[in-house]
Amino acid sequence: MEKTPRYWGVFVSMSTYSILVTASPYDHPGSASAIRFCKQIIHSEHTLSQVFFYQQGIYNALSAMVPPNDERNMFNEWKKIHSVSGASLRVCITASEKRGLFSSTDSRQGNIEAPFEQTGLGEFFSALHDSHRLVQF
Amino acid sequence: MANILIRFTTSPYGSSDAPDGLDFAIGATNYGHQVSLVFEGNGVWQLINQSPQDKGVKNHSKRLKSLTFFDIDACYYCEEDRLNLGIEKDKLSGIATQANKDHIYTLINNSDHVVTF
Repeated sequence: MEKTPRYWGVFVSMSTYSILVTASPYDHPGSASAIRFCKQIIHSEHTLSQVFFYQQGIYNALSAMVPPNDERNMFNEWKKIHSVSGASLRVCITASEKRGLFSSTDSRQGNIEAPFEQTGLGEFFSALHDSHRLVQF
Repeated sequence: MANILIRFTTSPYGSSDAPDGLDFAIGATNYGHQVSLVFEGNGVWQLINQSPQDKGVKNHSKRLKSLTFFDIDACYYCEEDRLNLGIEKDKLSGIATQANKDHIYTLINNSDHVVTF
């Protein structure tokens, strides 16, 4: 008997994804799940448009993180996701500056580095118009 | 334009979830999205009129009342959760209307995106 493909519409149509990360990197499984999810998008026919870091999620962008050698480095993993997919890694400027994270300027040395960029909610919501799906971690 | 349903599930002042969720909601409407709110679980406490005394703490009740100026009129609270928490109906802010679990499932199914704070 011929099997009807399940979720046919979902798998056949290509979707553009926006990811919202509100979990801090090592205290909650959210960031690790988000990284795994983004890798799967990259290896599928779908497109990863942007990752927006909000609330405690902004700590993912902290370039100064130095976990022990035998543990994962979330900052580097996000960097790799960006280099493979080209997806924007947007860090909410209000949420990050409140917590002491900021980009470098001429007058001060910051602790958020490229490919992470500080943006407002506006950039995230503007880009969301072109996404089919938004997934929060 | 997307229909975004924002779920508020925490009490108003214990963490920054409630104010961050409101910022998120207002940001979404400012950039052309349609926003609905639903208050569930401890989020129902957000609908009680409060007046925080601490400096630098924004009055959440006042902010909720201003939502209509940002074109956010679809606000609901979970009736089952209100009963579980023992909150009297007349104590709740008039900005939200009651919805049962089935209604909330329908809201979720009819939204393009769902975000939880």
